[in-house]
Amino acid sequence: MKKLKFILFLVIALPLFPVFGQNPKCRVENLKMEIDQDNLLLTYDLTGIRTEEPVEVHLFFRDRDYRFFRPRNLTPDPGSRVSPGMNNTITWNVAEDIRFFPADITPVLITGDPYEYKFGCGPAASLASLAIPGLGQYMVTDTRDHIIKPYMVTIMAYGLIFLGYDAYQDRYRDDPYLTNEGGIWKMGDWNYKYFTNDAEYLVSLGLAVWLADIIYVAVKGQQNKLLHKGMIRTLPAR
Amino acid sequence: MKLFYSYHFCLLLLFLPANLYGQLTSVYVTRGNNAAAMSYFLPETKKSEELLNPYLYKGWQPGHAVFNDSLYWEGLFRYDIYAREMEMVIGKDSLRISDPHKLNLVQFGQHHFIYSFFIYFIGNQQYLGNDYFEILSDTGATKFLLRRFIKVDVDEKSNSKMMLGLKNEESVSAKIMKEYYIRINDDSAALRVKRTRKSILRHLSPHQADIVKFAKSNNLTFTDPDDIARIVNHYNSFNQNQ
Repeated sequence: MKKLKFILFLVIALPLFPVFGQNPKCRVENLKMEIDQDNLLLTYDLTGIRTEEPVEVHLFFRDRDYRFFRPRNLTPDPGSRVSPGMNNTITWNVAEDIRFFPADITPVLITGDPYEYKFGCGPAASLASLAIPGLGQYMVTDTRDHIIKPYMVTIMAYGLIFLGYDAYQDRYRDDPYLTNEGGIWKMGDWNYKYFTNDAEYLVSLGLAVWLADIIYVAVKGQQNKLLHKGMIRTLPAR
Repeated sequence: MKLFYSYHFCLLLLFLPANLYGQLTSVYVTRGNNAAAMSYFLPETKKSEELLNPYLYKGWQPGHAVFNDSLYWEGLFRYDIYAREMEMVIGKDSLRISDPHKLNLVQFGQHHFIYSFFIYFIGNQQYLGNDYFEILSDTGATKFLLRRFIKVDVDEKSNSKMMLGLKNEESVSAKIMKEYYIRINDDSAALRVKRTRKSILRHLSPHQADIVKFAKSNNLTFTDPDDIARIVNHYNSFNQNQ
């Protein structure tokens, strides 16, 4: 019972955990790119969660191998302070910086001091998911956009394992019976609570959800590490 | 792992003696203010059937290139899909177009190429690139475009006869992939489209009803590239009439 209470506490408390992965003051949403002749127009929404104060905005680009570069010919200038609001725009004169690039690139827009910016925890966060399924997700990603929230993963993994355990506890066999052929005693048939081999299926499914979460967190953590490493390389030493 | 393989692969390409990339030089053609538009390279001298071919055609094709300063170059052309480069022989010089954004059009064989920015999505993340596109539609502001690229898979054994500077016994397979794009006008980026009715119509939004009617009356599908090219031509004619 005590264990069950502890699990219930974690399930309720998880959504209240702070978002470790993102700058808590401001959030970049709806980042979109558009080309207009030689200019790249970037529009984005800056959502202020705790403050309406302007924040520094820094634009980087990275390719699929996490190689970063920092465009210079930007309007407004790199590091300009922007107030939270909708439809903010950055114009990058691509022709001035590079005429063409060999790899496909994607923008990375961050708020605040880039030296201090955290993309989230590294792959070690998977240890948190090893302890409690879903917990590591809070450390590596911004879970506000997730359709399947981490606490749902917790409920799903624990719930399935618990149901499996419950099905195992309630499993029983019918009494042995005497067969007509030669008068041999035979063991009674299994009676399953939900369906045939329910305990095995439910526990396996619960463990699979748990394992998938650990792998997901490890992959996201590794991506965070590469993002941080790639971005820091483009910044001048201070 | 992917990074390792691509790095490994590039190293192989660089150091194999028969490969073309090692022969390229960075000497620029002097032609007034547009000196940076091209660079020389030494033409491929070794021919080996064992090597994989990164070009659209193995040989050179007669054609012409038009630059945005109206400069017109006639000669032999070939398109390196892997390096995303257009190479040409003008007189005795072998050149590659090193600033392709200055290019208006390249034509060789039955193909017309433009160079353009393009945007596509991976998940909810937008990616920007630039590459050569073959124009599938007729003249008009909106273009239906084909982008070719080479997908290299190092895990599979090569069954291909393409020449990518690697011998066939290398466990590398490479195949030419195709993607389709629509570019609304010359100032915008090409946007990737799926060959579905929904995707095509989304990009030709102002005249959707007319396009559906036109496609129905002409038995055109939204899956066949030739049919989509005709639909885009119709879209252009509609815009011209206005």
